[in-house]
Amino acid sequence: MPHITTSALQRADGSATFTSNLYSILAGVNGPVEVQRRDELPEEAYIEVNIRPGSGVGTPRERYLESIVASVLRSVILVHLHPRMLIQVTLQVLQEPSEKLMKGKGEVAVLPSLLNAAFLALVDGGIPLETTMSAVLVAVDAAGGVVAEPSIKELLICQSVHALAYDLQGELVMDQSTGVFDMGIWEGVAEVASERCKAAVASTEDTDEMRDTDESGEPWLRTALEEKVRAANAWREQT
Amino acid sequence: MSTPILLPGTPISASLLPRPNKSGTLTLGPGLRHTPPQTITTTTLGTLSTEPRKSALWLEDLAGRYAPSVNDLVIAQIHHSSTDSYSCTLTPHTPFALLGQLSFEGASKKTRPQLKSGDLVYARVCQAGKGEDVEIECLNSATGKGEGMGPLKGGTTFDVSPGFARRLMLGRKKGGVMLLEGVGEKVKFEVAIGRNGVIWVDSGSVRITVGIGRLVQDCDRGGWTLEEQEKAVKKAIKDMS
Amino acid sequence: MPREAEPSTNARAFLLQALHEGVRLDRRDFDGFRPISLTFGDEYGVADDSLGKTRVLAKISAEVVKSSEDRKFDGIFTISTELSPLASPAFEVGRQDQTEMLLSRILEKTIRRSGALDTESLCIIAGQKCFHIRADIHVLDHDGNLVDASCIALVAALLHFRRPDFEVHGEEVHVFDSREREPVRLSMQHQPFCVSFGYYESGTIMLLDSTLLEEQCREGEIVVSMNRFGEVCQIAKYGGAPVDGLSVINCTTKALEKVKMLDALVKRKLEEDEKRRDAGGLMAELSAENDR
Repeated sequence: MPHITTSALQRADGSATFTSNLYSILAGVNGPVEVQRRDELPEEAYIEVNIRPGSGVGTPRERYLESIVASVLRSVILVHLHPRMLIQVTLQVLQEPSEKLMKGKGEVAVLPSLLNAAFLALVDGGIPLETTMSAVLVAVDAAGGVVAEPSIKELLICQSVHALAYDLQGELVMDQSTGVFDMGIWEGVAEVASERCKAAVASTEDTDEMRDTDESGEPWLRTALEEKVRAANAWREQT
Repeated sequence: MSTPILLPGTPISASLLPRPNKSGTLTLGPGLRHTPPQTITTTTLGTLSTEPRKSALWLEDLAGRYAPSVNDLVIAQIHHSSTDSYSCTLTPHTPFALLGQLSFEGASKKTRPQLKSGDLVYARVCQAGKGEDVEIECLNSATGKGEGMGPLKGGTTFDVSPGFARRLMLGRKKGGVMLLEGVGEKVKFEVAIGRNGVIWVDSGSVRITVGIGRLVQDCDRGGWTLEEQEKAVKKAIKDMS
Repeated sequence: MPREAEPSTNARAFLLQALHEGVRLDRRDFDGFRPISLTFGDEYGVADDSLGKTRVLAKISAEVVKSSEDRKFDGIFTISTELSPLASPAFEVGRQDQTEMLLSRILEKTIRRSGALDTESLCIIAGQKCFHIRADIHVLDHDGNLVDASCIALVAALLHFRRPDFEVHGEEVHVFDSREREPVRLSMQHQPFCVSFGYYESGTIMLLDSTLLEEQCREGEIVVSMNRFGEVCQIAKYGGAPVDGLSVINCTTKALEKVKMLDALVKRKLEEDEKRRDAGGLMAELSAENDR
């Protein structure tokens, strides 16, 4: 299960940290706040995404990731509710694997953590959302086997790596893939990914013992969000 | 009865909806939106609350920045003035809310408050909508009475979350906060609560004001139960005297 | 919009009146620091510290580069401080504002120019190859006193960091991967810390570890950087209302007391981290793989 904290920061309107087996990302959200003239959009909110690497200044790699994350968030945030305003999302990489991932694998591998951290921070900040989104990383090994949440060792030798995100209705919100694969393999990947994302928001009251959480994953997102509401509501328990 | 915690984007099932009113409508509060013809979905994380008598439903305890809503009482800070109005901030980094220069009890062109940048007022939101400028006023425009609104002199302000400000306004029973009442039994002070997460306190004594401010902020952050609040109030009163 | 919101007239007047009566809004002593926390990351060279609500993350990284022409026997050490909207919506990405410039300048003087990090020890082959040690300071939350907080994080991170070990055979250099050979600590000549003083009432009131509100209401600021031996690395007073010269001397005396406290704290946290790693190291060897 990934490790999550919400309201990690004081100044930001919403914040969260998301730590997977590979990356730890701190996300901060400000908004809706005043937008700069040059960014103002008449009918919707302007979504600004800033990605800060652990070391060094932002490079074209960060700009590339920012544009992907921004476009996914634009479809998840109800932008029409805040025209001519700004919603600012900053993602700070706290931890990443020391091994360098080549051939575009690094860009794909970090996306699910970036998106999950961003989503949690948006919820923490009370930004109006269209849906609930979760993202997952899937790798395909040399034998064609599909591995969800691969380790760094598995990533270094895999044939292809895929980052997919699904919404509450099970619709695909994002897909970024790199490596050698065909449509058949991709469909297998999508099936595993959508199962994982479905499990992430599955009801925590489900006592169905037949459900194998090792296979489809833990309801990490629903658990984290429900915890948050319970903690905020603790005071009600005794009135 | 435990109401389910709903994730953003969850459609509300028909069984949870209250019965529509005589005209066949339902009133949607914060955290919900309507997609014609029949779907009601959550826009954020929260627990569903319903008021069957008013055919209303909404999500409780929403997180995030304060969003101005008509009739809210707020504490605004003057940023600058222009010919007809003052430009004020309700929350940092958001567009200014406008306060008419004459929107005060008994104000006329000759006898109106002369407010400067940095001054504070207790006001009511009279206009707030998507795409519109937010407008506030320091009087009840229907009666022309100030009703406690107007410039706030002296004292200081403390920031709390908008959710906590709302609880303070609801009082002990509904809001579960007894801090102000508790302190008020032994200590004299003035307080104004702004729904925008700003609390103004003035007591004539630095120690008392600071003590009250700390109580309120610590309770907000710590999620104190009534018992914990009572303990804290007792201790605070001792420190203040 | 990029500009920190100004405090109200009421808040400003109240803070000054309270100070006049000897009361600080969070009821600290005038020379008291907020609760300090310091944690280290799993990898070497990552330090995360907070002073009350202010939080700073420092990350150290190393790479092998060509030596500079005019410093053949030295390595390279750079400090980067980029403030982001995480810390406060007042900071805009890509635009260096006043706060960032001051922070960067003070850290430069305190750590780099004072020779805290021995750059000669970073030389691999004179005139050809050397280590470039890069320090990235990320301010995560801004509630005042970014300078002191950043310095603590930076010094702690430098002490925590391990650079790759290497061997030179004639003209050939072999830089060992961390799995081939244990990485090596950096050579630190001394550990300087910054202590910032905000002053009021013509310098008669001095506050340590100011919150953002206290910073916005003060008349000026003096920053003293020194190590635990009382050696002053720098003293900065950029404008602000004039103060009596004697006040500056008093500041250095008070600063020494605080620097000793900070130094002891950093050393203690490093020890605790070392113990945790040793214990963890052995267990990690014995446990089964693929633990999520």
